[in-house]
Amino acid sequence: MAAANCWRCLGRPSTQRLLAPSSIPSFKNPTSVAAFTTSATFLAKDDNQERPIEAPGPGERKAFRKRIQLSNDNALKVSGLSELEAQQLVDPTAVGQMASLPTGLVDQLRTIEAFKPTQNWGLFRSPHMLVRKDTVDFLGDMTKRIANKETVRTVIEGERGVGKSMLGLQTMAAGFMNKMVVINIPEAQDLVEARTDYSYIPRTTPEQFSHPSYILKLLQALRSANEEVLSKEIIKLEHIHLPGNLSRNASLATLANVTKEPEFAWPVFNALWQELLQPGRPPIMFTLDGLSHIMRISDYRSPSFNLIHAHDFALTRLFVEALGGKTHFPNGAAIVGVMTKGNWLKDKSVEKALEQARAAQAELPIPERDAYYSKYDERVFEALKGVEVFDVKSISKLEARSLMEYWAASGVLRMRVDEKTVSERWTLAGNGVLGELERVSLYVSRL
Amino acid sequence: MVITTYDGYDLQKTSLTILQVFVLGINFHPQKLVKKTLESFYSLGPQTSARIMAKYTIHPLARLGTLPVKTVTSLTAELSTMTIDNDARRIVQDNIKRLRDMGSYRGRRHAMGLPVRGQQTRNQIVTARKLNVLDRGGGDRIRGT
Amino acid sequence: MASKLSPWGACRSLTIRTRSILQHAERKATAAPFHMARRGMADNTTSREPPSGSDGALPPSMAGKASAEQPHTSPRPEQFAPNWLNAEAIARLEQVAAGEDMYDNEEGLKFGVLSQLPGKHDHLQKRYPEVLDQVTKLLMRDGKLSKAQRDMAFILNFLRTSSAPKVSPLRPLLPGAPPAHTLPLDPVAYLTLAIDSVAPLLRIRSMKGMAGGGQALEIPEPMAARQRRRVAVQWILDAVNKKKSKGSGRSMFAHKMAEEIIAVIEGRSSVWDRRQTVHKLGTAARANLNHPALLAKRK
Repeated sequence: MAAANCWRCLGRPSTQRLLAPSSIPSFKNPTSVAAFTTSATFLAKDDNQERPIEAPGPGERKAFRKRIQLSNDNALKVSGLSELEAQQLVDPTAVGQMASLPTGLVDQLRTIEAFKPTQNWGLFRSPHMLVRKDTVDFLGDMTKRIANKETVRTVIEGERGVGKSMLGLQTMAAGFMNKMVVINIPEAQDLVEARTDYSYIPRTTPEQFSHPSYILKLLQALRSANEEVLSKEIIKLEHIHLPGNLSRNASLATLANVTKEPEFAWPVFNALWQELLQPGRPPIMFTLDGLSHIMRISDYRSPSFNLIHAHDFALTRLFVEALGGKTHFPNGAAIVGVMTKGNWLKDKSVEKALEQARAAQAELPIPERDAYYSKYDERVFEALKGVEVFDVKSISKLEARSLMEYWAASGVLRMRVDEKTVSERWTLAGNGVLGELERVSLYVSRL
Repeated sequence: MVITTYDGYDLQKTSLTILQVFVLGINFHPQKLVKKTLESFYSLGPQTSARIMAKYTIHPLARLGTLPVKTVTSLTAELSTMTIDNDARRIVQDNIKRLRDMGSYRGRRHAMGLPVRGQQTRNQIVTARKLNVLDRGGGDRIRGT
Repeated sequence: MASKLSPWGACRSLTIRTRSILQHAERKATAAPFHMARRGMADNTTSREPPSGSDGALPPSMAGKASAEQPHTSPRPEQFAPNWLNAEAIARLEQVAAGEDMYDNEEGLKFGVLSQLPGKHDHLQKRYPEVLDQVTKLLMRDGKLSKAQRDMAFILNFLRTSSAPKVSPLRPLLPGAPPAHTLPLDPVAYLTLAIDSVAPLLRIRSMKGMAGGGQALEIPEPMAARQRRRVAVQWILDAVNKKKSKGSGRSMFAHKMAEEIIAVIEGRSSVWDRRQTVHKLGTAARANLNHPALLAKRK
């Protein structure tokens, strides 16, 4: 005979139950021997099962997919790391140091969407980054030349997962800290994949198109991230064609904020760009991630039903002309295109153009085009004419060690960090490919 | 301190507050794709709808609610010049009716719902059963619903 | 030095070492600050082109030490986390700085002694914890292991980033479980604890027609650990399939699964009821163990 409270021997002692055993609802009627039935339990209808599953609302799924979390309260706080300073990014002795991003800078970077959903920011207490050798090399040179009011036109290249976008982020951080006007196109493929609205810009030959709502969003992000710099600058040109009333002493921040209508986004953006090109303005930093996407024919169609080349869109044309050296920047500028290797259809024109740019940079004989390939895109060569190619390399063991010590201190990497383990992970990560190092260190299971 | 950002959807959401959109006098849900809206008219297929949309620079994933009012108006104007929907349907039906009235073989086969062009009828005449009827394309679309 | 097996090993390491070995007295003089750049970490014989100039660079932890030689750089704070792991690593590095080999105290083995010898059936492919391996394969659909692994990685990351669970006193976890606030930092333990806690101890086996009159005789049977985990995961998967869709793309399922595991730890999950039902049934059916038909069969 099963005793009334005996089933409890299969349960675990709960504090509540141990304290007040008499209050436990027990079987009032102990089950009799053998011929009992349990069908009542099995036949009992589960109400949960009948309830229809609700679908998520419009935009909810994408918002979840694109969510970027920049902190994790579970991770341990890493003390003793300094806040990032502009000097640190160009100082060769700072190579291998981890630095935390100041809150203001984080806000600015987040506004212009410099952080990516694929980066592991969400594992740590607060955003930190590694000052690596490539950072110092690239930014040191860049900062020096911009101070001389030169224009730096660079394509950031490198293997997959080696840290190209991260270097782009560091470039933007340097831009903000050096009081430049930072404009960022976070995903170039958004501009060509026919996912956002487009419209014809009147009175343009050959015809040009704009992305009204995309540019409006970009404009708003640009204004709020660069508020401090833009609000100090007073407009110099006449803007009679713009909507709203712009007083003579209005700042550039006001100019950027003059419209909330997608229809006027491009004229306002263009006006702001023209203002920034006036002498005496702060230097411009224009970055674009996923450069290879805008080096092709887009999926949009013109009113005459022809596919539109990506360079016929006003925004990309602005970038491409700046990158190709057609725009004159009197105040110095950094035009940085970041290549992507994660999703990219190989394109022979881009490859050849970069190969030629690389050769020109090293003062080697320029490689010829393939004489048997007829589909080279002349506009791509035009756009990448005279750019510098910066190859992001893998990190050294010293840098890897610094990074792994930070991970261990955050409690995310649960292992001893010594020469042996660093060397082991460094080798596993394809000799220091940063993304692979994260994969082998931060994830227990394969990602 | 948890910092979380989302992609912005405010632009789309504000324009979706319109409850219904009228195209050619017919009421559509603002969430409906423009492409689907156009293709709901008889005689407009993927080709024609793509061309119409390109003409007014509407991207393929655009929804009715996100279009400016003037684009919807010009779409309606464009559609009203075309032979679509009931007019297009009536042309086809008239052709079949003419064959039937002449008493031709093709007319008879249409009336019987059998293949018209000499195919075998032992198996596989599902398409013929579906299409070869006197009022091809169904009844008229009721305006305003 | 490096290898006690081959006499050439010592010569080789002598040829590689480009800087003079610090003398013992010198070690005492510079007891705490040692120079990492002299550690000889550059035994890099790989084909990949290393980032040039890395020898001169100092890691952040050593930045403060450099001030002895370069007075113009400001001293930086010590950046090792103050835990025993790093203390041990530092001790080793000091050994190296003093000119001894890193693993000198370990009987001439280049990589030290394995802390745990591999078992009879262990092999290279067993790289994940046992529970992780089993659960990953239970998540797999249509033989797509890679996708299951990606889901698993997402689940572990989700457990790591979501806030610490609040354990309900009504649903006690396994005795000896670590405190709840430490769980997110060890996601594998988190997952294991959830699954092991909610796993049933037994199952009900129906013996057809043995109760007489065509009725089945239900008898409780204990299960092995692996079986119990399997049942628990199946229950969790059932609960997950009833949840509302969460976002699109690769992380949708994994997100729901991770939330369910947190719900299990917090005692909110419906899986606990299933466990309780089985246990009740098992207790009741225990009487059947002495059923004449069963006893007869045993003989």
